[in-house]
Amino acid sequence: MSTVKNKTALNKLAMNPIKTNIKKYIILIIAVVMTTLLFSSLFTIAGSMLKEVQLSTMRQVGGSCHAGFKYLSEPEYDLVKDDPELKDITFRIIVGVVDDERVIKARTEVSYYEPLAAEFSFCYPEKGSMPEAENEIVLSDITLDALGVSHEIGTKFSMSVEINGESKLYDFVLSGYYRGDPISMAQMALVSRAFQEKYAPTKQNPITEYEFNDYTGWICADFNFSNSIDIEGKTQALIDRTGIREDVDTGINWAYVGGRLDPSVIFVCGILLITFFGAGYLIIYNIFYLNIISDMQEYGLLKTIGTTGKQLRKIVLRRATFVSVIGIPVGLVLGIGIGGVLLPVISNQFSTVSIDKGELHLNIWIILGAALFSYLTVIISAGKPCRKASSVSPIEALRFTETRGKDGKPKKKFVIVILSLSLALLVLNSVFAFVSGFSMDGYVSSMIIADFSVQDASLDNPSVSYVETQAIERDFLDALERQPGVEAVGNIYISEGEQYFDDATWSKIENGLLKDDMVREKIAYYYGEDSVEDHIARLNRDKSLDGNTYGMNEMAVSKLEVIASVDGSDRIDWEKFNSGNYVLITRWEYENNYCLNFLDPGDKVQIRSNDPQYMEMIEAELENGEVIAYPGFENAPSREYEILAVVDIPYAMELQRYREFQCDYILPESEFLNLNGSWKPMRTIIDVESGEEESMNEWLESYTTAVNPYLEYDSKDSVFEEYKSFSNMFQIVGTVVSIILALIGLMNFANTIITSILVRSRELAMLEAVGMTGKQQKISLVKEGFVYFVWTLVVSTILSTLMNFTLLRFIMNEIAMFEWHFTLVPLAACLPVICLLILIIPVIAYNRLSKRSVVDRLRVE
Amino acid sequence: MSILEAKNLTKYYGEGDTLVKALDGVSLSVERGEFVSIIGTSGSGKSTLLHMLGGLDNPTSGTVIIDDKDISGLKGDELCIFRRRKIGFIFQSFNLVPSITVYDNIILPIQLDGKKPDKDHIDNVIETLGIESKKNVLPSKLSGGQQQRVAIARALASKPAIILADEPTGNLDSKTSQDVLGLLKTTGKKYNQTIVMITHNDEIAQMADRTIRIEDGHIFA
Repeated sequence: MSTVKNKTALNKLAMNPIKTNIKKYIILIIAVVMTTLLFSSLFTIAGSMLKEVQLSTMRQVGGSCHAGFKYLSEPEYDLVKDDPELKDITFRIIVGVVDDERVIKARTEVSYYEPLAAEFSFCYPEKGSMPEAENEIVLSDITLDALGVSHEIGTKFSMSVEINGESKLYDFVLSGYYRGDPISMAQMALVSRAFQEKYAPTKQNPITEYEFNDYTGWICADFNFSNSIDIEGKTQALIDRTGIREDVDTGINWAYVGGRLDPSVIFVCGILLITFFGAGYLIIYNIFYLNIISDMQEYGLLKTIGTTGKQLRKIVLRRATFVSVIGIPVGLVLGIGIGGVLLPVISNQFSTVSIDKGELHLNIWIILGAALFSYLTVIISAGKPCRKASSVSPIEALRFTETRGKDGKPKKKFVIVILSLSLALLVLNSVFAFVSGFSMDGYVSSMIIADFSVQDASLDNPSVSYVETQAIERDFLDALERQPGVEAVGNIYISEGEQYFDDATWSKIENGLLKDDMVREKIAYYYGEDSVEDHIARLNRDKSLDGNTYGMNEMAVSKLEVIASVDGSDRIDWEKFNSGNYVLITRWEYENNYCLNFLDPGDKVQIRSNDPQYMEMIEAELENGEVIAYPGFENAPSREYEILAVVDIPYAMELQRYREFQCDYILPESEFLNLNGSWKPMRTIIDVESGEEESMNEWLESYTTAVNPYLEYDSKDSVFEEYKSFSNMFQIVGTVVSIILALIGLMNFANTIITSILVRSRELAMLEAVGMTGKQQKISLVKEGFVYFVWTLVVSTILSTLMNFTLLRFIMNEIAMFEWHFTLVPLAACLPVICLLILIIPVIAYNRLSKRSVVDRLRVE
Repeated sequence: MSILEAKNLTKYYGEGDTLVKALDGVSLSVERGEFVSIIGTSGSGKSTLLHMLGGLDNPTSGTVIIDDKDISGLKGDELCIFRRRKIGFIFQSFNLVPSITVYDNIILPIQLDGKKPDKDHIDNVIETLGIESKKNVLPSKLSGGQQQRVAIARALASKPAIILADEPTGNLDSKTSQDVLGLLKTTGKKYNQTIVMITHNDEIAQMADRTIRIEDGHIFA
């Protein structure tokens, strides 16, 4: 097409009607603002939370790099460092670990870092600088606080560092520090290259099997590719390309590994997104559709005087752009603002990062996405009358009236209005149902078993690989006994290992549990699809399952949940159990609370003693011919017990580490000690008399800091506190989101009614001209609104009820922290307001209209 | 030589019992420079005929030939552009764009074509029609007669070969009607334009060179 210089004419045609019909466009802009607000606040919160979760994963992993190689020698590092496919590559060299009483609760590793590596590992000094001189060091504020060293650059101090298995006191000067995150697996201490070369010289030969327990002097390389797609494949390609040894220790940053999302979560998010988009789309579409009559007439007029379809589309596009240019930025700012206000509240309740928490992570793509979606909706909605006008002859367009149903009402418009109103209410009702269904009572009860729980400081920390399971010393128990207000004390002992079965018992397991599809699925999940048969064959050969044996006293046993027992009772008869002939057994559990009994009450099992005196080193030959030795109790004596009951051990009491079967036994304390010799409890739970919580809290606080810093305690109050702020978060966020949605729904309704009156100002003037009084007109408008109201009421009630009973019930029953119950409260709250609007808006709108004379209104559209 | 020709035009609305034959096999031919009036009662099909002649509406069957071009073969925008360049329309209801000024309304079709308005010609037309003082006001501020003059000015502005007028005086009093018709006739002569005008008024119809009568969708020459 030749370039036609008709811009000014088109501009005038596009923009002048906006000036003369400003009310209509204000309503359109409001609709665009609301829709954009809806999308952008949603995207901001979701996007920022995802980013925060990713960041938190990175902090736990200890770096933001895509992948890394561990334990390289210098020549090996040289092989990869210049690879052209790598965007960045940097390294650190491991020196040792701080071995100091003061940092027992803040494990601190000592390394030399390149500045870039420090940045990637979140430990670049925020105050001060990287270490240069041999004795300079950078620490985290957490380590500094633990050491009791002041946060002042240049402070001199000494601490003991273990290098190559040897602990020695070194003198340092603080050259800088960074803010440490307690969720990190370890805090970092950054030393100078000179210090590292002096005490942990860089290794020059590839690592061998014998050196696997010696980390000193090895290079850990971290690198980024140009993007995070298929990092695993790219890393393998890097190994092949550079010729670095095939068995190099590779770490893929799982913060970048997708697919960790549950399909049901994706499904739910998808449904929510579609509903939100649907509601937003309908809000805009609705308003445009209501204007179709006047628009069609205008387009028809333009067509009769020679405007081509193409020019018509340009005019429409220009108007749509005008509406968007004003509406979308306003909506974005408001949406991001609301998101920003809500974020800290939401973020505080999730254990993600603990520094810079609740920060807005604005992703340009997300914002563009929200803006683009609003814009597209506007264009599509605005284009509808335009497309219609360009497809019919000018005269038909001029005479356009809507297709009307049998009763003379425009059918399609009616359906769209009702649908858009109902959908907004449906979203509101669903969000409210979800939020109000939040209940952590069930969840918390498994977290709170007693008033206090005392254990090793690292026992319940999932990031620590070796934990002390005999941390409760006699001293502590004696001191506890002397404390006033103690009601009951429960000791929990544990001996980890394997459970062995005799032939008869094993055949029951072999033909019961091991035949179950879910068991095979779990084995496949652990060992791969191909190894299921081999693994089961190995189990049948050994006749053993992994599992721990607990010892518990009367108080602890009383906290167990009885699933099935010999006598059908749901309580354990302590006298009988304590006789020494009985044992309790747990169940096999898999996803979604799928449980199976290993054995049933009345069955008999053998328990082998784990008394250290029976321990012997057992030698075994590996596939490659190598012989290794491990401690075992093959020849220890065992005793037979009858299963008294099948029980569940509450989460707060057990060792929170799980293997594939987890066939756990529970013996009475005395019998446990009888069998295993001298043993110390893993955990002690304490109930106090009411009113004594405060003093017990103080005593435990001082005991676990001053007397035995290796111990840590949890209190019911602190868990409850956590729970309370979590449910507060839900209330605040739920309320704000509900208010936004309710406002959007109500404004949508008001918009609809006002537009339908504005659009018909000529029709109304005609009615007035033939003698319909203002009062009669108002009444008929209110009646019309009432029909909308009744339909909205019916449709939204039906949809909300369906949603309640299907999707919501399904989701909320899936998630432990939610309790489904039927609710239509938001509808009940909103519908009267809508009813009021129906009465008020027509009156106001009509009064404004009637300020102009009938003739005036008849003349111009 | 004919500039405008219709062959066997039919236009049906509805179907079955409700079938209305607005035009039923109409043929006519108009010479260049001729002033033809088409007269008929309300519902006789005269407006429909004019819409067909101008390509504003599609006939059920039959062809319209303008300047040797069969416009039934033109589609959408092609037809629109052809119409914009060849035909000026004057409507009973004026059809002025309410949001732009009188002057902008007059030059709108030219601008839509991406051409520069011939300023002298337009000033001349405006002067002839006596609406110089209203150039910069919005149409809603004008009386009916004034609005129709603007519509005539718009039809003349691009110097189209044919002017189609649909009851141009239908909304006007008799004095104003006479003025407007006089103007239409003089400008037509002045710019050598072919005019086809629709009316239900015998007196007005007599001002044309030739009168065609239409009744129930049929033509009586």
